Amino acid sequence: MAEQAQENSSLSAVVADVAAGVALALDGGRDSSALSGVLAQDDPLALAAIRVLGADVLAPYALRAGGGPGTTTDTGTDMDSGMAHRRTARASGVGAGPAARGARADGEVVRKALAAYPPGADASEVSLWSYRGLVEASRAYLPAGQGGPESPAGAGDRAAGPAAVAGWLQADPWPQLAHRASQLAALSLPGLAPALATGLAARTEDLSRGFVRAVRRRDWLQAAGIGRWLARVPDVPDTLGLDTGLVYVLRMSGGDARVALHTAIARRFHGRGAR
Amino acid sequence: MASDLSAPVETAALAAEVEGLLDSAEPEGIYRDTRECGAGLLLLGALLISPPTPRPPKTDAR
Amino acid sequence: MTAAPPALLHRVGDRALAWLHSNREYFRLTDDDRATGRGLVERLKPVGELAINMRVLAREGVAGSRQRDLSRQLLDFAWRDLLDGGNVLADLQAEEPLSPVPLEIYASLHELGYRHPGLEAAIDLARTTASWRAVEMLPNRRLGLLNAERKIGLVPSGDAEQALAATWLGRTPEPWTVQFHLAYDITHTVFHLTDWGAAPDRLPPRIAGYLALYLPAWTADWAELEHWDLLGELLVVDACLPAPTLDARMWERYAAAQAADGAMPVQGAMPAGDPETVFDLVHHPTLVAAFASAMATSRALSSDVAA
Repeated sequence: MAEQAQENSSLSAVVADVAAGVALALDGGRDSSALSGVLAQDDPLALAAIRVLGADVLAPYALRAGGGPGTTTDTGTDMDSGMAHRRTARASGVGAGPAARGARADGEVVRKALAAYPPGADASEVSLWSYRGLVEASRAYLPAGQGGPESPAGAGDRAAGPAAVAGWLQADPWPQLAHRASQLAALSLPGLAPALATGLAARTEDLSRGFVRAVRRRDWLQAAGIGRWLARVPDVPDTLGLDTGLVYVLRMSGGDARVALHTAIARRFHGRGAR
Repeated sequence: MASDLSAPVETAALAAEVEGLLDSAEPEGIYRDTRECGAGLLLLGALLISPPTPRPPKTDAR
Repeated sequence: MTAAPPALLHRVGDRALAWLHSNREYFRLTDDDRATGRGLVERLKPVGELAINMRVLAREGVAGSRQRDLSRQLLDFAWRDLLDGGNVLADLQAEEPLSPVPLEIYASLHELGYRHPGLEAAIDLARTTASWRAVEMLPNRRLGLLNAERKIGLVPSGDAEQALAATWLGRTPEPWTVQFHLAYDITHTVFHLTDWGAAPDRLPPRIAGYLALYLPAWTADWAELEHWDLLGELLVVDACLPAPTLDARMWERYAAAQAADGAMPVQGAMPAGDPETVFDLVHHPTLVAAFASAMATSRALSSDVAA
């Protein structure tokens, strides 16, 4: 059913390709991130796909960077990112050589995606958040000089501060909250949106309900997105069966690449899912 | 891929599609459960306040 | 989450009871049902459910005077006209000595003061056998049987805690695996454990916590599917929790599904057909509506609704 919403556009297909590439890179199947190596830099579809996936396209760099900066202020991730760091210590050090060239090229692709698809005047809040997440991720995860594109026209800075967070994060009834959280799942990467993470960590029970509802509805993408936020928090209810649930969602989605990316991130960053 | 001429148009259309994918509505969930409702009612039989089973047709006139 | 106002909760049951009363003739067993015994148990099921409902109404004391009259009339009708003063149940027990059905139906009527010594003797006889305890049944039904025994003053023939441990809910498994039949297993476990809502405090805290956490997800889902029969049962479960939510949005949808004459459809809209056919289709969800309303109204009037 999740497929219905996305239709089977060529953009959806490219989004799936990019998601699959990133998941592969996360699992160590490729040396560098999947972006520049496999995508034509000026392909508008490829750039659009990067914009759709947001910060997740840089998840392999976050893993190598040991979970990214800002983790000390980032509720619930300290232990997890530390774990990821130990696991990937060998792979860090993106200073020179082919890895550095890859990072440089990927930073360039991301910069182009941001420039090509800035949030318009009537962009949704999700779009703004996601844009800002990608800006933040390239600053945080890519080695200095490769990332940190200035956000064109500063569009991403609109409505993205903690004050803007407060409203829906506290007031939304749990079904809407969970749906929105899943749309913003890429921001669950370490250090990207501390206020958002803290706010959602305070609503673990509501996200758990949302996970149950999403699985019941067979909305695997939503379930996986909510599952990622839940994977971060230490107090997720045992009765939810999150580990089994993430595996279940992945299998039942029938190979949905975006679902697979979500579950791969939950596994690699937080050790949740397949054990 | 896209020629120079078609690029701006395509990008505008894609931008709308990007928006749509980012802020996607929840898909309808209407197809689930249709099968589960029908099956297995016999097992529950005469358990009180359990889902209704078809009652046998009445055979005598009143 | 906002709690529904007591007036709304009460109205659903008031209308459901009016429909049950004006359609009471359709509960009747035919001579043929009794002569052949075919489908007898299926035909007795609604009568047992009616008795449970009237018991809940009498117990919770939330009925207005008109409701009290209707429910009194319905009860007498059920005992005298439908069950022939309990003879129908005694006949069934003689026919099938190990059947739990007569006891399940009799238990609520017994609490309301109706007696059939012959039936009680037959139940006692069945209970002397090891077979009575060994009969295989769904774990949540076993829990119900133990509760029925307790209701008529007998020592339960098994351990309630063990029976609970054998149910789905007793093991609190992954809440996202719940589907239609599991959901009814959950509601029934709660009904029997709490004696149809009489003793919410019999829910172990572990299970009450599990339900408080996940019940809203199931409720929202079956409301969206417009499955009013199951939604009604889930609303009863909510009313059995230590801090019920009585969620206004759910109750508003539920109330809106009720037909003008008080009938509650099973799913979606009211079915079409002659009154007898319609009765067969909607008597169950309408009984559930009366049950849910009585429980929720009672809890709304006490002060323990969740914030």
